[in-house]
Amino acid sequence: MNRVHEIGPFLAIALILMLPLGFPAGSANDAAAEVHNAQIREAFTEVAWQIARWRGDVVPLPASTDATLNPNAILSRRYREIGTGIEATLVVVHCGDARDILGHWPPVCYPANGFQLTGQQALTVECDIGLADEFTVNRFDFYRPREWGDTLDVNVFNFFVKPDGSTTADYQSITNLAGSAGRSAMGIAQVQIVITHAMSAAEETRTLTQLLSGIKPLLLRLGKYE
Amino acid sequence: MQRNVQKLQLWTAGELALTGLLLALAAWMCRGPLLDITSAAFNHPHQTHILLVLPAALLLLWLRRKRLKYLRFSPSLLGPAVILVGWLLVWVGHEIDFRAAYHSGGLLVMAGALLSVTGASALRLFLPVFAVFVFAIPVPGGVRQQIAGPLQSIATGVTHFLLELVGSTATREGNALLIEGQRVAAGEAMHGMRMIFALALIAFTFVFAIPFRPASRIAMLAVSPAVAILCNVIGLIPTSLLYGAGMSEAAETVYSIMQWAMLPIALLMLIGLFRLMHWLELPVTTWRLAGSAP
Repeated sequence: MNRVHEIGPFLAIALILMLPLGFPAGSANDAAAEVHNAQIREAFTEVAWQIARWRGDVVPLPASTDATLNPNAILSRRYREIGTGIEATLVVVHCGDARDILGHWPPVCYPANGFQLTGQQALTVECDIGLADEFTVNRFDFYRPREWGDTLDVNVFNFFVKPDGSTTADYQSITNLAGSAGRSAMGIAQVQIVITHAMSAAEETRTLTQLLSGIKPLLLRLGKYE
Repeated sequence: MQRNVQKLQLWTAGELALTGLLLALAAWMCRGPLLDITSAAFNHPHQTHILLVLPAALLLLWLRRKRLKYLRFSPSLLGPAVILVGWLLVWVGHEIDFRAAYHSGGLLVMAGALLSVTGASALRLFLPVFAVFVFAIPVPGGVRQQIAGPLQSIATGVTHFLLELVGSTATREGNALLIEGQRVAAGEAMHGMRMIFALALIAFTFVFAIPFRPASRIAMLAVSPAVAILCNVIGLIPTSLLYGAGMSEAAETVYSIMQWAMLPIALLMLIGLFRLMHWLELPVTTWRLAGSAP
């Protein structure tokens, strides 16, 4: 019995040397992901402060995200259109690990900040963002009672950019991303445009198309995992 | 004397070299999961408790140092079996992107390398030292989300209550507070999740640092989440007062400091609980402490 056990250390060495050959399991934190994340961080810094007639300035995240999100890069800017004074907040969050974004999207984050969801619909937007000419976004309508009796109405348009270059408004497909080797390590990005005052449908469409066209290089970078 | 010295010389240089080689090879084989764990410990704000695992393991080992003389070179097939299971977990974890399996498999391979030369005796003698490495597995995002929600709600509720107690007008909006016209994301800023796992690790180390009876260990571990929440509430008191005074940035800084300060306070609470149980003459330890009542 003991003699059989004596081969234990040598069998262990053999297994250590052989198992990775038969069942390879590379590091999810590989160099390619690190390079990709660094390129994305750089692309975030290159987003124009002026997009067409929109001029931007930094603002805190509308429904702030805590450290559980663990973002690789965040952009949160309020753009004001010169001439009309229309404002919209553009938020882009990239997580190096796709699983970190789970649970962080408007139907979760806004209610946690005192907002109530009053409406939700999927909209098709026709706009060249480099990744697609036509894509689907979610529109969420929220309101929050304010101290003096009126309400703060917020419309949030959101979609996700996958590392394969596709976009989606389907949250379930994001949860499925973390389902095969290394895919979650390719990261995921969420884009939001937040509008806090009444706009006509035409103004909303113009706001969305102009701001999203203006960040085309960033969107392309987000969807290009090499 | 000569006989005693001979008894302690249980490992030859060759056996130690073989052990070292096995551990080095296992570490190289599992560099993916091990580096991933290290990266999470240093870079992820909610995984910093992993940094405490090695000191906790060393402390538990130090407390059991007298048992080292019973640890002999005893080759075993248990080690290769654990290595096989561990690597399959690493492989499956990588293939289906199940990181908890990926990380725990890496740690199992390391344990298997050691068990290959010591057999099950290492487990029998140092089980808590092995077990504490469970805390080195980064907490999956889904679990963090499940825990963060209730903690945010508790933190916001307690802060709101404390502010009303000191006469500050605060309105609760979900997990945010409106204080003097300023919105404060109290729930997100102060849910204390960062410390929950660190406090659980401290509770684990504490109950295995003292020769508790198994039932007492389970009882102490069961109350540790309550201790963690209580510690977070203590940290919220000065933070809430600063929020009430309109000093949001100072409040968040103080809260960050308070979170770390809560670790020794949590330990003191556990010691206090132990003392209380002992004073009540409950049979908490496997032997009576010197000076205790007969």
